[in-house]
Formats: sequence, C-alpha cells, structure tokens
Amino acid sequence: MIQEKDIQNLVSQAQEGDSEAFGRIYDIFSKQIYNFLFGKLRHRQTAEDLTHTVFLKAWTNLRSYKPRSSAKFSTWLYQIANFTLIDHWRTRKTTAELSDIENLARFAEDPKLYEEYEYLWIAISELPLEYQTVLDLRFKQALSVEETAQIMDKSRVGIRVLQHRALKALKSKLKHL
Amino acid sequence: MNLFSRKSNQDLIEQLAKSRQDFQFDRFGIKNKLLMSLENSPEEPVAHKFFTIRLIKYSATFAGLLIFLSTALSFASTAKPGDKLFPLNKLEEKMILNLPLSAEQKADLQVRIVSKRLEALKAVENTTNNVRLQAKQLETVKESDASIKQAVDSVSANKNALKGPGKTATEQKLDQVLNQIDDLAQKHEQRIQSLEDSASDKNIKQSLNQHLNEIKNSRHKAQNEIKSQDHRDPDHEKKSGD
Repeated sequence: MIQEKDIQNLVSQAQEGDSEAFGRIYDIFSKQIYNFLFGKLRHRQTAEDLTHTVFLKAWTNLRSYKPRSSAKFSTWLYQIANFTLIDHWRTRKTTAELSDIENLARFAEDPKLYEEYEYLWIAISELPLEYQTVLDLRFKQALSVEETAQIMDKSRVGIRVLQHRALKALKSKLKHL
Repeated sequence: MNLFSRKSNQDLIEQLAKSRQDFQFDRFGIKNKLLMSLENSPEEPVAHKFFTIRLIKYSATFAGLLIFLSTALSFASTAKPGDKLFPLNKLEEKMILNLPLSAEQKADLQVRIVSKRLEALKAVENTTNNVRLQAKQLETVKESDASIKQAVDSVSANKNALKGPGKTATEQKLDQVLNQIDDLAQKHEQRIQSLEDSASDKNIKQSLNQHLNEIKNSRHKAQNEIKSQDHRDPDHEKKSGD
C-alpha cells in the first residue's frame, strides 16, 4: 500500500508541472473517486465525465494545495469530487432513475457481492445526497469524522449528527423494502 | 418480519462496509483524455470558490447581525428605565463612554445621560396608584441616582488626572460641567422629593429617601470638587488675599 509520504512526493513533483507524476496520482486515486461518484450518479458516462473533471480541477488548482498533517491528499481530492457532484446535481436531475439502478450490477466488478447487498444500494439511493455522502465516506471509504468534515465542509459535530440521521433514515427505508 | 427492524446501528455499519463495491470504468480512456487536457487547462479557482462561498456566508451573517444590533439599539435608545430594552440602552451608553474621547466630550455625554434620566423621571410622575408603574418609578429613581453618581465620579476622576499648578482650559470646562450636573441633580432631587411626599407606602418612601440622600452626597462631592480646585487656583488665592 502506498504511503502518504510517497503521495506527497508525487504531489510536489506535479506542482512543479510534472504531468507524469500527476498521471501516477490519477492511477492511485481514480478508482476511489470513480466509485464515490458512480455510487451516487448511477450513470457510467456521467461518472466518467465527472471523474475527468475532478482530476482536471485538481491539476489546475494543485499549486494552491498545501499539505497538512491532519489531512491526506485524498481528502482534498474527495472534497473536489464532493463539490463537483453538488454542482452537477444543481444543474441536472436530482434523483436516479430506476433503470439506472437496476443496471448497476452490470458495472460491478464483483456482481455476486453487489447482488448480495443490492437492497442496501437501493435503500441508499433513495436517501438525500448529504446522507448518501456521509454514509459512503464514513463507512464504505472508512474515512475519519475529521476527514469527512473537511470534505463536506462541516464541523465534526455536524458530521456526527448527519451520520446519526442518515443511519436512522436508512434503517427506516430498509424497514419498508 | 423484516430483519432490519431489529438491527442495531453497528450491524448496519458492518453491512455498509461489506457492501463496498468497485465499479468498472474506462480508466485508461479517462487518463488519456486527462493527460491531453493537462497541457492546455486554464486555471479554475476551486479553492477560491470554496473560500468565496465561505466569505459570502460569513459576511452575510455579520451583516445580518449588524442590522439586528443597529435596529435593536435604535429602538433601545428611546427606552426608559423599567422598559425591557433599557439594558440595551445602558449598554449603548457604556460603549460610547468607552470610546477614546476627550475628557470634555465624555463630560458632555455624562450631562446628556443625566438629562435623559431627568426626562424619564418626569414621565413617571403621577403613577403611584398602579403597582407595576410604581416599580418602574422606583427603577427610574434608582437610575437617576446612579447616573448622577457616575457622572460626578467620572468627571472628578478626569479632573484629578489633570492636577497641576493653575487651572487649564479643560479643568475650567470640567468645572462648568460639574456645575451643570449639580443643577440637574437639584432638579432630580425636587422631583424625587415630590414623589416621596405623594407616596403612601412606607417602604417606597424609605427607598426614595435613600436615593435622595445618595443624590445629596453626589451633589456635595461635586461642589467640593469645584471648591478644591478653586483653592489650588493661584488667581483664586490672589483674589482671597485681596
């Protein structure tokens, strides 16, 4: 597993204009970012377009990125992805179509695993975007409360409250499935 | 029966972690497109955008707070002792008195406050039959006494800070102010005396009497302050010698 120190070295090189180093950053994080986006968009073409947008935004703003001990580089990338997603929802449709959801298994790398937890994916897709994001970041991506707070631009207490509400809402959805 | 009706949050969290799924996508296609875009990509101020949104949010909150405060203070400026907004009025006065103003300007402000309290005193006359208004009357008298005491103490302190041989123009001005405060205090005294005379309740009478004594003490202090300066004044000594 690649260390944060190595990632920061790649970032420093990319900040100097080394596009090859940035390409390696893309190789490391593109899957995570794509999964994060696709889980909410449920539309392959849109998720791919937004993945491209996220990394392009990261490249153009890389000089403004300052490493901090409390935040990993991936936190900054997720933050861009989250804001890009919010911008996308503001201008596009706000709910996923059933046909898109049904097709998700087609794109899953482990379709059997997807089918096993399909009820969970369907229930999550019916939650508000903020609830989906907090559940994804905290429990699927296993990020800390602090990292999630930075990504979602909220306080730590705000994230704990949001997480509690999201779990409650998810339970309620599951009861009615 | 649905299993999830009995599931705890911890079970649900574990299920969420297990359901984590990787999805297929055109990883290399996006990378190629990205690398081609890198060369000619214009600056897109992502960080600045976040910063701007945050700045707008804070500015709007601050502006809202400022509007609320200025509205509340403008309403409070006409509030009289016993009114709900009077504490805000006092706070505003305190804030103004704490501004870096000259001793003369501060003394003038003290006179204005004592005058305002006198107006408030006039407004609560003939209210002795109503219990609620009696409380307001007592509160007005208390504030009246407090404003005189504060004015005399503050002007005296500023005057003492200027101590030296002879009398400066500022000291003369402060003496005039002390005289003004004394005159106003006398008017306060007369009003409170008439309230005391018309009061039937023994406790109210006693309370009014206490405040009257306090005002007398403040007046006495103001008069002594003016005299003590006169004694230090060489012209005064010369005049006395003559």
